[in-house]
Amino acid sequence: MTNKRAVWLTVCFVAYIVVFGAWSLITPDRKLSEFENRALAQLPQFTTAKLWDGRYTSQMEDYLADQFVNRDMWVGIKSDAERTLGKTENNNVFFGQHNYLFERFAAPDGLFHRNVESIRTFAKRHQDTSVYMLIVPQSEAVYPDMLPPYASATSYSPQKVIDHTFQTLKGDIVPIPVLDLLKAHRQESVYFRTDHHWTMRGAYYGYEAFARAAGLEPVSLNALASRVLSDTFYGTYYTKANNKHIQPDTIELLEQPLPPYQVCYSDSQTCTDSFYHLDALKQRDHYAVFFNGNRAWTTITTSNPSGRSIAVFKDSYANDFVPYLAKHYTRIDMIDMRFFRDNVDDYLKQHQLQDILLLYGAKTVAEDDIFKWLN
Amino acid sequence: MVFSSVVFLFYFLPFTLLIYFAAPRRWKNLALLLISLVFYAWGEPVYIALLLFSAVIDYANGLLLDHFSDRPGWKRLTLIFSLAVNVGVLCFFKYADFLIQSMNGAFGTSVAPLDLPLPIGISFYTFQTMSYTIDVYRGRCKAQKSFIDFATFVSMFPQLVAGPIVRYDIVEKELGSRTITIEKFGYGIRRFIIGLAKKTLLANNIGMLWDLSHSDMSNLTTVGAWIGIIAFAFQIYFDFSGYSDMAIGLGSMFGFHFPENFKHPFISKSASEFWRRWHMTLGSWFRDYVYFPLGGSRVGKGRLIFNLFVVWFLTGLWHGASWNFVLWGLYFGVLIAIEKLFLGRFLAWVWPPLSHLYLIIAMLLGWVLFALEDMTSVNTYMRAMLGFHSAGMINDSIIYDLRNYGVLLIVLIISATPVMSRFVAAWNRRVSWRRALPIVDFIVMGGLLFISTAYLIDGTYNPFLYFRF
Repeated sequence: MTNKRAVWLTVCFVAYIVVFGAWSLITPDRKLSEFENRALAQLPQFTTAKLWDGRYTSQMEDYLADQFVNRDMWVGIKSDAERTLGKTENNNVFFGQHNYLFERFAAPDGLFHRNVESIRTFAKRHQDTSVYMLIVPQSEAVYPDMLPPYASATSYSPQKVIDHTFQTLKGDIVPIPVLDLLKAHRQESVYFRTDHHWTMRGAYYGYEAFARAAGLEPVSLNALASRVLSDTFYGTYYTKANNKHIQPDTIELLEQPLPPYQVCYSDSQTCTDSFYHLDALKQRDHYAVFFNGNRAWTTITTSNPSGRSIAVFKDSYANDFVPYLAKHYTRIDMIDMRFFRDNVDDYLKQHQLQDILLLYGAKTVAEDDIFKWLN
Repeated sequence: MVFSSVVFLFYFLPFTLLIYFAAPRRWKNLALLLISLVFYAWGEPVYIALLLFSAVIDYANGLLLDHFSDRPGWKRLTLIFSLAVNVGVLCFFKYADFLIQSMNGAFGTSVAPLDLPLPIGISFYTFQTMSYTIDVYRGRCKAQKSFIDFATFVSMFPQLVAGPIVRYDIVEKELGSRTITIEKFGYGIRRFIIGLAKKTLLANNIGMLWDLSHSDMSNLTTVGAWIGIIAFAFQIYFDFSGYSDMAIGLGSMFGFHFPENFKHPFISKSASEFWRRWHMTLGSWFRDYVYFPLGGSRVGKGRLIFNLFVVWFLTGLWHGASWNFVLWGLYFGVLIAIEKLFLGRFLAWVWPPLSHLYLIIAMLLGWVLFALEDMTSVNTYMRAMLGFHSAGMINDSIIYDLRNYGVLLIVLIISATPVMSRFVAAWNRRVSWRRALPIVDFIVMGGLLFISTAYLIDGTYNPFLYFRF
């Protein structure tokens, strides 16, 4: 190596590591990454015990990597490098056609079967009420042709999860199949492209199926007023894929004329007069516009004269579904088992809730260890 | 701490360079020693005592050997003591649980395993200190009088964790006095960047394909099994040789010449040649300190087989405390024995592509033993490779993987062969183009460093922190 080359390499290399290292130290720490939609590691607390067993140093490494200067830029460069290599995925999110993103779904393990058993135990205890169950498949079940070629072979079929659950719980619950209905209406954007949720339009078809099963007369789609809330929505798939070349999504609101109602949230003890939290549009996650995210429980009281009431055990798929129910129920309680830790039966009895609907994404049923709390 | 991390590259390395180059010449070894201890303590604060213990014992043994230079009996006793301590430490911390479990399995006893975490780099530094005492005993090098210099040799951080195994005689002179030039420093940077890129861009990425391919053994197809083990071969080669490159590069920045550890092993034409190109410092260690003392190849056939058995049993065992590593070592021992007896002459005579193919298939079958630690998986995997598995030849998920990793696989094949260095040499011969080469090289190095940084940073993506809903 000639002297001139060595000098250039040395100067540039040393400058590179010193400048980026120091720059990262002086830039203020961020609590969370909007781009990746996750909390970033913070400066670890020093204790001798933590130093001794190696936890301090490993937390320190996470901290320095998470708070590296221009982290979002580096993350984007990695995603671009993966695409340049011809990869059709990043961090287990597939880059589909027409700006669709999908997440690889791992084959369920024993937890899935334990979850179904927990639901059965719960349903058997409530045989005197109607226990409805609606499982929302991931978008890949409705748009399989949008996946990259051969990608579906590396991902488990959500339909299998739904079929197995309904088959096992036959007689204990009233199943509400939605997959065929969603497929029939797939041209109408029933799912977000960059997020794992169904759209409010997709949720309408879920509502229609539920209403039929529960003996209610569903509101006609034509009777709903459509309003676009956002056309700059980047969902959870986007934040995992870090692919900056994907077009943003649109959030559409389908509103029906309703008499005044009240929504009360469990944790904040606050009540509002709308399902929709428009301030969420100023944050990253626009889907939070529906009920401002997820709470242990949320109570909706309407001036509907029917006197009917329902408990909706749910994950976030219910957030753009439940507004449709206000037409038919006087009281709706949404219960999120990820946060709810009271006795479920006591709660149902105390509030004299008549119907029960379990509304979950297929991934939650297969992978989330939350159904044990039902019993 | 590993070299391929944000904390090393952007914090530890700048501070190290600052301290090392600010220190006056006679304090440089002390500076390097203290830096190395911090490096070691970063991940293993407890075992630093073991490292220092090892250094003190062998420093003292070196002085004793010197002291007893004309009393052969005492000299021999000192050597035996030193080897016993080194092998003892290694056995206790690395092999105790393996021995206990093997014994429990064989005799139906139920002795509880110790569950000690493996001290980082123990297999490397005990081998280095053993080479020192043996060489002093043999009179090949002089005992080191300065403890600081000796401890610097034992704990020197570039090669502490994953080699190359730097024998004392190689760095003896440079420990005493070495010249640090900007040319060596520049060479070191270049070597470090190449190693970093091998680790972060090639090894880590193809490692994901290996993980995918053996995650679901029941759906293992024949093509999938071959692709999977090819991915593993590339992963381990680029991981290990990348780490050696980084070590050699860092050594060069500090003024040391470390020995080469890999020389395009995948282009070998026989198992014997493979081991002259793969982990060369380990191979030569076993050759000089085990195989030759046993008589080497200049013995009768029976004794040769025995010698090969001992060396390859130990080589296998060195890689990990588990029977599959022993099997893997013996597998190569058998191949090399057969080659020594008759196959070698045939391989040298036959059309070269055939001998290359022989080595590649033999090596890949060997990696199955190495990569899968339990024998049931090895059995299933081998059956799938040979087409005796129910999942068939190929399925859609393999086609998907090939589409996703096809480009990377081509890059890996090119990088594993001497094609690039031949290309550069050819370029250099063209007088009119020669001037552009340094500039192109500079841009390539900058690009590799930049993209490696991006992979280092996104490599920390932690799905548990992700709030999904």
